Amino acid sequence: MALLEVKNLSLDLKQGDVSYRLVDGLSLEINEGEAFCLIGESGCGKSVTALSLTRLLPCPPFSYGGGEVTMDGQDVLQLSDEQLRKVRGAKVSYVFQDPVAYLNPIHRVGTQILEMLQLHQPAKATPDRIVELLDRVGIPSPETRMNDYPHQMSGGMLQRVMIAMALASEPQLLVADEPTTALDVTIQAQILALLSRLQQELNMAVLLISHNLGLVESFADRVAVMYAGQIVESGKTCDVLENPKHPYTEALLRAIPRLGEKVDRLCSIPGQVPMAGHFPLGCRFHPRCSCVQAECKSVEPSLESISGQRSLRCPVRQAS
Amino acid sequence: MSGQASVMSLLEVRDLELHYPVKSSGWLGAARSVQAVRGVSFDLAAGETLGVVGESGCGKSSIAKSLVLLNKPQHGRIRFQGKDILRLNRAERKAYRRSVQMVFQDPYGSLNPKLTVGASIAEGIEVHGLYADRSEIRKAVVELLDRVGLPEAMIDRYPSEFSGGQRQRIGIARALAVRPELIVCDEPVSALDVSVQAQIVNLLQTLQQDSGLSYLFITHDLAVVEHLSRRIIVMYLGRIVEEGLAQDVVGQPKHPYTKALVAAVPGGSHRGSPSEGVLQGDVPSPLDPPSGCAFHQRCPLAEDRCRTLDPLLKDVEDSRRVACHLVE
Ligand SMILES: Nc1ncnc2c1ncn2[C@@H]1O[C@H](COP(=O)(O)OP(=O)(O)OP(=O)(O)O)[C@@H](O)[C@H]1O
Ligand SMILES: Nc1ncnc2c1ncn2[C@@H]1O[C@H](COP(=O)(O)OP(=O)(O)OP(=O)(O)O)[C@@H](O)[C@H]1O
Ligand code: SF4
Ligand SMILES: [Mg+2]
Ligand SMILES: [Mg+2]
Repeated sequence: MALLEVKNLSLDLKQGDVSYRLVDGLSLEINEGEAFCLIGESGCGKSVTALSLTRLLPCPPFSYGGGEVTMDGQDVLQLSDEQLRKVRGAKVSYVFQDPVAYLNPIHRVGTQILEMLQLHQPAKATPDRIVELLDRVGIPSPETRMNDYPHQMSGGMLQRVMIAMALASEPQLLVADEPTTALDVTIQAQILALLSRLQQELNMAVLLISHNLGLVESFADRVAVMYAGQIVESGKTCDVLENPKHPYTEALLRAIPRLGEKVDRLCSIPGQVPMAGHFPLGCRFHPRCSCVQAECKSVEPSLESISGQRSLRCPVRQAS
Repeated sequence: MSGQASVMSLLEVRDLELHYPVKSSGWLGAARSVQAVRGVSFDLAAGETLGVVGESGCGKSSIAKSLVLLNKPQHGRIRFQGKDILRLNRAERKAYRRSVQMVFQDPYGSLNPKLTVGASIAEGIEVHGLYADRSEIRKAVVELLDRVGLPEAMIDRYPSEFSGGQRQRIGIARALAVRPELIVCDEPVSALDVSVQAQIVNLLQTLQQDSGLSYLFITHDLAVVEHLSRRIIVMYLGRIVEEGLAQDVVGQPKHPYTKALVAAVPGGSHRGSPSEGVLQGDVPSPLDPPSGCAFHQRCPLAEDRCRTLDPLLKDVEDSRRVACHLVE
């Protein structure tokens, strides 16, 4: 059985009198120790999905519109607050895009790691363990750096501290929501290499959320591509990237500028990403799709398993 | 520098130094300062895109902010259309503030949370009195939203309701609203996913073709900067370490730091595990820049002289400048 199983998860958001469906019938599985990547357009629902895995979304305005989230055999959506607290640290922890927003500016980074340890691994709440964690994420001279305040560290260092804090609870799944987006290239590469190393050394599953397809290539075993609140394609990373089936995945891959390939204009996808509450009827990608057929405009396609580990939400491409 | 450059240039930056005072730590610490920008000179021609890349904290945003008068340099000169921007009178300064717009790096902090998206975009139009009546302003705002790929329905919503990428496009619409001549783009597409990025990049190019806009384009994405820019500046710790035509700098990087940058591009020519080709170490502190070449602690080629002698930015070829002892 997979470590994390999300089945048919739907999330709604209420604004005033109107309720929008942000995430619609999302299913995914992440195995123990696996590196999984969720890719998709800005606003498509990646972050709310990530937060819902441990019910971190405030309800209201959010609400769960159905489905199951099973983490290590427990249905997260049915747990009591007490049980939920255990899942949040010991099973799943998070690293977000902006470490500054999650670190307390007036406490030393070591103290903040200590707090995580006291909360989730009280037996290991010692200075030695703090040093060990900081060392593990590649912070030089951890004995002294643990006394730094967040403002004394660079963005890349802070992201390492965030990762150390996330590791403090010894999670089975680390959810990294755009962990490198705010960092520049050489540090991005360092952080990604670090996550990859930790995933392997600790046999910890990692859910990497990103809009950077370039990152996925070298990182993830499997990838799911999300569009307008739904997964449109998933499969082994090499299969999806080398042989994209969904017209959206294909267009996305073509839109990436490549080093040393001079083109006059980048291939963009015409039109706009639809907002929640304004998703088109039929296939949600149809107004922007280059393969659109008459039935795409009225019949909503479902995510079908097409072979082995591959799933696709496009009847046109499935038939061809 | 040559008189020729000042005739041609829209923007001329000479020997720019930007320092930030910091509180001394400990009782013995003397007042110190972060040396964010340490003697930077460059030109930008009208209608040109100049790309700026470099490690976090190397001073890119500091330069950007000094161009839009949010930072006052300690030393150096900035001329726009031949005029020193630090000595403008009131009317000139107002005109300058319209001519030079900035799209900010942080899509979360740069929008007023209390203004609707429409009001935010209309702000500049109103300050500069570009349209007289409300319906015309609204029409202009809707058109701007459309240009940056946002639906009209968003006009009365607040920034908190948008994702990072959506907010960044609102910032771009705000900058475009007053029809500027130069847009300082501080990482405008870093928060965007590739398909929206492609739209914005194409949009910036189209605007440039149509109206001769110039861009100073700051980014950490080498592929984007190569695509957009005629010339690129590579910065490290407050200095320019390499400058040249985009295809040269990216195709045949000469400075070891530029080489590492090119190698770190994900999904680039070199496929493999993410740990390959990773540059070790962190950027040194600008509070206390290392002696010699600022890059020497991370440089795989560093020699003895690199640890003591600070390399100058030298012309190595036509329109190519490099600051490295090992590059002649
Ligand atoms: N607190 C909130 N209030 C209102 N709407 C929200 C809130 N958080 C998210 N949304 C909306 O929910 C949808 C999904 O948002 P989410 O943050 O999950 O997107 P995302 O895929 O993570 O995008 P990005 O790549 O920009 O981070 C978006 O349309 C967004 O506007
Ligand atoms: N207001 C300030 N006070 C003190 N130090 C500052 C201030 N603004 C910037 N700095 C410091 O100046 C240096 C240059 O900062 P700047 O923001 O220009 O870098 P950057 O190249 O834009 O980096 P990034 O890629 O992270 O945006 C950094 O070390 C930064 O910490
Ligand atoms: S179902 Fe139709 S509109 Fe949707 S992606 Fe496939 S071809 Fe395009
Ligand atoms: Mg997100
Ligand atoms: Mg910056």
